[in-house]
Amino acid sequence: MTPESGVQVGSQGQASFLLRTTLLLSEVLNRHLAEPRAQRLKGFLEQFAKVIVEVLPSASTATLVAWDSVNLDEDIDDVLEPLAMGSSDATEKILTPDPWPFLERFLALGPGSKTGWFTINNLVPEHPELIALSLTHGEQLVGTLLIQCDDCATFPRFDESRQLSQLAPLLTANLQAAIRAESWGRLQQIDEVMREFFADSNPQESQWNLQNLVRALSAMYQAEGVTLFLVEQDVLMPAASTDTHFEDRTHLESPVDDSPQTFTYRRGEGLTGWVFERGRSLRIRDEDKIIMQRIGLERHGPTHVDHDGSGPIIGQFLGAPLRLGTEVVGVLRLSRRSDLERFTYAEEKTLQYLADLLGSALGNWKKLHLAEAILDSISEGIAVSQRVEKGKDTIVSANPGIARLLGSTTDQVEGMNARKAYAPGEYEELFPKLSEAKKKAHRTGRGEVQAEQSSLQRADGTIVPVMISFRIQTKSLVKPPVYSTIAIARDLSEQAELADRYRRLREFLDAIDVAYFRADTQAWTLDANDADFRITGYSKENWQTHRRTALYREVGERERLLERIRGEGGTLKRHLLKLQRKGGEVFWAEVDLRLIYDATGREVELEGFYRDVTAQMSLQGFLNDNEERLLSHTKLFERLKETAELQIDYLSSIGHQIQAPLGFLLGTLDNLENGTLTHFEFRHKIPSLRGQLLTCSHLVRNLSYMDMVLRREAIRFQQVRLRRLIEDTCEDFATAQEAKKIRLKLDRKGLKEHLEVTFGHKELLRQVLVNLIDNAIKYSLPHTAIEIRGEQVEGGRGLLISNRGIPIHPRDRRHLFTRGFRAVSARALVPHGTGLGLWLVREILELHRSTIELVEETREQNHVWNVFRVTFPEDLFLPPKSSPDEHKSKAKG
Amino acid sequence: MSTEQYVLIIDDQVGEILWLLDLLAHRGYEVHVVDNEKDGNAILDAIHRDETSYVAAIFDVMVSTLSIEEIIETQTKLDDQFFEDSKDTGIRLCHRVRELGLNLPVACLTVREDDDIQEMSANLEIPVYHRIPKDESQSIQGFLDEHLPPLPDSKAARAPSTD
Repeated sequence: MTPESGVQVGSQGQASFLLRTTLLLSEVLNRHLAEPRAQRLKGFLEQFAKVIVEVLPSASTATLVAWDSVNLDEDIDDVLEPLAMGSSDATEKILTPDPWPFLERFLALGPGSKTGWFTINNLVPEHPELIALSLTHGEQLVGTLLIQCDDCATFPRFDESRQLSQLAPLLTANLQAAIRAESWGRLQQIDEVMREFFADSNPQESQWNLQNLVRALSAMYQAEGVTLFLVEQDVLMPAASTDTHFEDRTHLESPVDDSPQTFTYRRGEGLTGWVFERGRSLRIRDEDKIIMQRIGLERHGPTHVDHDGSGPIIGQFLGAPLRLGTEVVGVLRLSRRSDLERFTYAEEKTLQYLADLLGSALGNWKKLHLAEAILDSISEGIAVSQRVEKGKDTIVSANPGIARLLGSTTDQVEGMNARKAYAPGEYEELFPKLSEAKKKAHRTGRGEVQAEQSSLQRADGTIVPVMISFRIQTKSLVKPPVYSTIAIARDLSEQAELADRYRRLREFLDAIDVAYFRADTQAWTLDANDADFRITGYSKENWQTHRRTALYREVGERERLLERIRGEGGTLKRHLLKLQRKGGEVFWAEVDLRLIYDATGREVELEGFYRDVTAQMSLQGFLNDNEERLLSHTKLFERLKETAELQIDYLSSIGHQIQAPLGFLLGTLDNLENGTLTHFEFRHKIPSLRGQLLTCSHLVRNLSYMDMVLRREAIRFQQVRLRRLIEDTCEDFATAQEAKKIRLKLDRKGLKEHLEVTFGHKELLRQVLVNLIDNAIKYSLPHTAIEIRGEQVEGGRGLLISNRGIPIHPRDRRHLFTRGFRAVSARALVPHGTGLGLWLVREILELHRSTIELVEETREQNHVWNVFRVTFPEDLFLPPKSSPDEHKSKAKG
Repeated sequence: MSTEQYVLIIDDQVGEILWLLDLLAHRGYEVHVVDNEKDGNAILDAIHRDETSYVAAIFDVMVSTLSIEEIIETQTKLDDQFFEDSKDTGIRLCHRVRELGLNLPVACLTVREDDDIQEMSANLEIPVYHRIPKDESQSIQGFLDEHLPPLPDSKAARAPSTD
């Protein structure tokens, strides 16, 4: 090529040069726009380069590079990346096979490299013939033209320099046109793809043909991997993919269990997560160094790489967020291998365009479906009204819920005057608040009225109590603005009826003296009925300043009770509690308690019903019943009846028993009177007379002590010479012994050693001895002995009274000391016994913290001996430490 | 043949009738005390067979049916029925006397005043006396004077009457 043939000198020559070049470049553009899309930009560049060689005779080879300006992070300077490259000579040596390192060096020259032209022989010493021309648009570098010439020593000449200067804007404009042409082509393709996508999908049925979409995108963008992610619970979850393992990767993940989602991305996780977090597209080579440099993300390879038939697709990444306004609803991700052409600016921008289209469709669809589900609710009535003319708000939209509330259909409700839906006077009540909300909506676009109780009127005239709230939305896109009032109403008729039932139930509970309460975990009363106030003595106001722990007599008692309830699974039924009223008076309550838990299983309240059963407990105490339980009324009545019958029996029995010794006295006196007995003989009868009188006295004393024990009278302990008491009591039975030929055998040594002096109540202890010895004499075989011994026993000191009599069945031994009980063997032999004596023995001994039991001994000749063993605690035999007052005891209770 | 005249007493609380024993001894009678129904019946049968004789009999109404020794020896089941039976021992003994057609003056001594006792007394014409008589009609003294007057050689016969 010669200068003469290609370059025109002078202004005419300049104009000719420009015209010719323009025409040539336009021809290239027009011709190539009709070509298939693949590698179109590269084709443009090659053809443009050939035009340069043609118009610049000194140039032997021309290479054109298109730059991509990337600015992703405010903290990082603009980064230039080569977009595509084309050369006039396919065999060009300098820039092949890998032009990028060379071009990077070129860019490294700094801002100067971006404008004007210059030789770069300093840069590439081995190629002194190279010159470069920067193609800029404003501040931005769009492309670079590299020229090799045959004679660099003279190139460029003055006129060639001017041509080069004129060529720059011309090339820039064409390069930009070529890039835009590509974008335009992409947009056309997107239009086709989206048209197919919507034709294939049925949003009503929530059937989106996303899989077809990603396949179409894969073909269109020559991306081997395309995956679409959608956001659920702030996590990107895969929706569709060309990935060959996609089915396996997603089907394994059950939606019901808690297995980790393996094919998901969180915000900021990897490149896909970066797009999700930033809400902007990213086009980048998948190299850790570049990624660190460009977006500051420290990363070691892709997180979840797409696959195709040839394996993982790694090299280039292009991701675009699916946006709905400022919200990211998904990410569309394209992967290409390194050996393919780089993703272009146009590809990135058009993909973002498509992603935003998808975002609008899929994001809104999700919201609309949710809104539709809410609207379909029948438990909430929703109506939207708008003011079409002054004073008339027309319902423009109504859901089935509001139709049900108004006893109508949605068709009938829509179009009706909203005010007519209210019961008379109710709208007027709400009006001031609605008016206020509307003013706010005028200012800010939105106003609200919080839930209010109101009433609606049904078509048939009946009134429905409702809880109603409002939201007023301003649509100011039109002038004047339109206000939409959204009313949400909930039927309260069921609650109103429930509240009425609840009130009646509480009144009923009050009437039958059943108290009800609810308390929080800190024992503050949340609710209580009048019976609670009556029984506890604490008023409603008192409970605002006193915790319910005030009812318990000991610190920590309530907490122990709660532990017990927890142990019973949260409910405690018919439990007996000893509590105290305001002022300290003790009372008994029979309670049913349960713990209330919230949805998370946390304990929030204690709820309970109770009755004051103090009177019953006091009666039970009198009936000698166990205090740990409350008898049913039937049982209590039975027990009362039994006790009354027993009392009658006692009196009748004692009446009978007293008469026998009295009869003896009377008979003896008669004998004296009628001369059967002489005075001398009578004197000999005096011990017998005394014995019979003592028997009467014992019987009467039993009654008297029974009264004392039942009334829980306090008794005072004193020193008692127990051995002496035993000996004296035995002497009182001398006559009885004689009559029945029974001998009382005292172990004086043992008694002296172990039972000499004790602390106790002398007369009560005497009664214990009387009843035990009397019992032994009654039920002994004639001509036998009754042994009375003292000895050390387990648990203290023992008094043992043994006699030979009828064996008592082990079953009966337990009951022997129960009031009213007489072993069948005993009552068979002596029908007129009272069954009081042994019970009284046990009661008196309990006051002395002592016990009694009956054991059986088989002695010589297989003779069975009944042994009544009394065990006194050791400390009763110690000398008093202080005043005798400390040795006070009280009957149980 | 012995000239001693015996009175049969069936009572298990001898200590309470010592005065009666004194009285009978004072009038010159020997006393045979039995403390259970079974032994009492055996004596009644013996009287019936003329193997023994008594001038009169006095029964307590509530007496054990068996002796303690026999209960232990035979391991008799001591149930409610046994108890109920022991309450009416005297009544059954009176019936037995009538059944056997014994020519034996009989009296009952008790503290009971219920209808069963009164009915038995009326039907069998056997007097029932109270241990603490409210008047002379309730006192066993009349029965004793009629059927068990002082024997000729008794202390009572020798001593001057206090009446």
